[in-house]
Amino acid sequence: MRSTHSRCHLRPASTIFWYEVRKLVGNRAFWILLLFLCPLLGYSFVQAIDLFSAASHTAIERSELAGGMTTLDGVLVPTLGAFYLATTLLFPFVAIRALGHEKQTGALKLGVQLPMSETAFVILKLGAICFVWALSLIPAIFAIVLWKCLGGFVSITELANLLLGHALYAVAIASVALFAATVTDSVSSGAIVTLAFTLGFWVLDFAVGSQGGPLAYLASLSPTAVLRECERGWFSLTQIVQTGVLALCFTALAVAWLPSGATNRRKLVSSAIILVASTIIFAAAGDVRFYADLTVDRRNSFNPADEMALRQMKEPLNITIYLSPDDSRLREMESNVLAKVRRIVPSVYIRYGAVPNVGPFGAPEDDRYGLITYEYQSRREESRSNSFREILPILHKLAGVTITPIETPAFVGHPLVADSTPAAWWFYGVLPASILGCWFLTGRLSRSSKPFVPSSSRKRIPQEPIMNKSTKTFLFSAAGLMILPVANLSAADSVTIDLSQEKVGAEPSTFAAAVGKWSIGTAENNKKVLVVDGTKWSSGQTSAGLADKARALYGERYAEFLDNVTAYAYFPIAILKSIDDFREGEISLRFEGVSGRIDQAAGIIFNVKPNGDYLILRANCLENNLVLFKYEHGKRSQVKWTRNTPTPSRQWHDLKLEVSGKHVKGYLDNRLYVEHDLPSPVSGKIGVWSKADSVMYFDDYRVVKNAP
Amino acid sequence: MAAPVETLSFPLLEVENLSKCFGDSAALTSISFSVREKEIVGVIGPNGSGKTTLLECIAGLLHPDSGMIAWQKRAVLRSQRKKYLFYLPDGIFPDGEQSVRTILKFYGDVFAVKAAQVQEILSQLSLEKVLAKPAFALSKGYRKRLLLATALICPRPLLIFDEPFDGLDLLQTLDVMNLLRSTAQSGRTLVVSIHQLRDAERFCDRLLLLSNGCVLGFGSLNELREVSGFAGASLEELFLALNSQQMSP
Repeated sequence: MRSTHSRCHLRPASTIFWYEVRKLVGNRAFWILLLFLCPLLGYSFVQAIDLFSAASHTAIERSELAGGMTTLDGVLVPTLGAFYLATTLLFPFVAIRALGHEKQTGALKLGVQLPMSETAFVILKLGAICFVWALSLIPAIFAIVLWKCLGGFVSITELANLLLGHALYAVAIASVALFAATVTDSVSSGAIVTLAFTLGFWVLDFAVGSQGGPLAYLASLSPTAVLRECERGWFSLTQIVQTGVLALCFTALAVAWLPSGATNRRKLVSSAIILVASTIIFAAAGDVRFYADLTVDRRNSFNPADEMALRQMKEPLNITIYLSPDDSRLREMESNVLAKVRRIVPSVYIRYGAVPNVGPFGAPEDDRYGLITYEYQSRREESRSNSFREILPILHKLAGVTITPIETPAFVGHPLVADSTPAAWWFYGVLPASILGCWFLTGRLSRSSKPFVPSSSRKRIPQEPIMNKSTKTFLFSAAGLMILPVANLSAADSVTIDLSQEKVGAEPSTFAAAVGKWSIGTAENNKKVLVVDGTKWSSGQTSAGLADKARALYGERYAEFLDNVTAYAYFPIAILKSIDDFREGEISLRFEGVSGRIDQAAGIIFNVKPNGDYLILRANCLENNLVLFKYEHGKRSQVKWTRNTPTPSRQWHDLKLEVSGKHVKGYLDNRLYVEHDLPSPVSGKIGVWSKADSVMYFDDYRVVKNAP
Repeated sequence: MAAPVETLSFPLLEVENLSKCFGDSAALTSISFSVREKEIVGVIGPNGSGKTTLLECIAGLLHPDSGMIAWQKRAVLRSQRKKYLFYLPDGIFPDGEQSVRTILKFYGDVFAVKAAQVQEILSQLSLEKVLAKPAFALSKGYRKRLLLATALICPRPLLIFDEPFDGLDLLQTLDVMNLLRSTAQSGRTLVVSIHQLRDAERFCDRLLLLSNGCVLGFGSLNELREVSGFAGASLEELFLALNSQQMSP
């Protein structure tokens, strides 16, 4: 009985929801929003690719810079920044129609008589607006898919958190639009009121946020500020709850002010109750202290040892800062130190000492300017540094503890040199044309379908669904397009080999060292790496001499000669234990050539069969070439060979293999050099490979398995 | 004059001493009347007499300053009225970009009405020719019929129409009158505001005559003739006589 009753309530709800979606999607404002988004988002994306590629060139040459190359900062945030602009300036014109148009035409008088409560009616409209906003993400989703196709790295957690920030911002705008529609008489007036809110958030964020005072506090609570936190890769349950409360508050106000017969006095009383209740919940949400740093480089966190020590500071920590609110040092300190300290230290009070006004050309004369004092348990320290490297030891000293940092893996970054031309074509040409086509077809089909039913006919009304065929096609295609990349990312089985728990000097636990001496070592920065050591290869006693002779005989191509000398057919191999059958996807690693007179070879071995046959994609620091080899029946032979691939020794390089059925691609330092179609699809074990007297470092072994 | 209604047992809807002011202007002053099951009550009056205000107060879209509205002898809250009645305002535009078919399908689905019934209603209102047209492209007459169809699809026992014949030509008006009459005979009750007195005279069972927000009279045409003492007078003559009686000191 209960389920039947529920269905009775769900049916009108579902009908009304899809009807609202249909009305919003059928309106030109939605299509104009999509069309504007193409060049807007496309330009941001193309610029992001170009800038990221330019920076990656340097980062690839100087590996210590690679740690700064993150997709979040380099691509996702700037690209979705254009989406933020569209949500701020254009989305209100879409959202306002959900209620404003009905109010303007009088149809709202029919709407409030539908068989459901006014609250449910407004919530369904809010849901429909949010759904349509999600559809407008299509260009952004395409950008992310394109980035993946170009070989870029995308972290699901970073992406999800960023989209959450944008979604919260959109929900807040949608709820404001609903409220604006109820208190104004026309769509245009409602849109202006909504724009006033969205631009107000914007102004608060840009103009007032750095000024300090109550307005700065207000700015920190605005949906724009929540979005900014998500852009930093920071997940804060407090801010999410607070934005939710803000959206609920405006939605409740929209219900209260719906023209449904209540007196103005009652509306005012309801509004007062809603505002008071929202304020209480909003303030209470401030005590919810659940945070997560979702960035791959852990930028929002201190070292775990530091964080543990800071959490133990139970007494009030007083920090007094003598810096002007618009001083860049303060802003830097705020994001790098104070924001983290506030979240970690249970009781922290930050005060801003009085500072003299600073003229545009003059420095402040007060000696205290720039000083930061720290007080804890009647102990006091001073500093002028805004760096956590200096501030954290001060805090530990005040707390009377000594910290030994916990070793954490260094972030190596995801530099990528990519060509933005396909993205430009897509966003400036193909996608806008496709959207125009969809718009045209949607309008045409909805008007041309089943135009006439004879009046004499006693047939039942043609069963046209709430969404016509074209709208349904569009919605399902859009939903599919949105799900596709997410499904693609989630369906991919990603394995990253973590060497941080391995024991230095021992054989790796994650690889089976089948041939040669493989062990865990440490690179220059004390980071644990996989090492192949060919110096103990006994068969190579005479190799160095032969190599010299070969060089004399063949010049720069001496190594090719050596490759065909059977005596040098010594190939250290380590097989990855965790993957039995790799068929589709990509395998990547980083390597550094340390030494080796005959060879400094690093390879990805794949398609390893039980009989010992295999394929390898290998680079060589002495040969500067990238080669796809096959090893069959105990004999190695080349499949595809590309020369002039700069691979200097004593530098880290990226090696990547992409497999799609029979098609394989080989990349060195993110540049495609080898492409080949094999006679049969790839299937077998995988691992790392080297040759002869090579001493090589391997790191960041990563496998992404796609479903074939 | 319409044929007498057979089942007139007890008041379905009662309005008692309903008053409504907009600022200093009194739109309705102590309006009282009742509606019996299956009858058609016409709310008659010139422009500005308070017809729409009265209907919106009954429908719950406006809050009266005083008075009570009862359904089957029980006071009914504003939020409960959508259980019993559906009000079709005048001068509204349906969802413009949607086709007639989509709009009717939506109302059929949302009120869980069978497609055959929806088909019946749209046939009676001759809407088949415009099923694929978007609502904004309809003529005034078709738009009115589309709105009437949405109200008739709603299965609630009391239907309230504000100027249902406005925008219809003579033949269309007669067709719609017949349709509404058969709707009442099939068990539903109608309250209809009409400013065309001839239409009201031939269509309504009882009449509520309004002028300047006050009741001039309420009853059948014969009852109004008796009260006013104008035997054989037309509704127009009665209205003018009652109105002049009220205006005289």
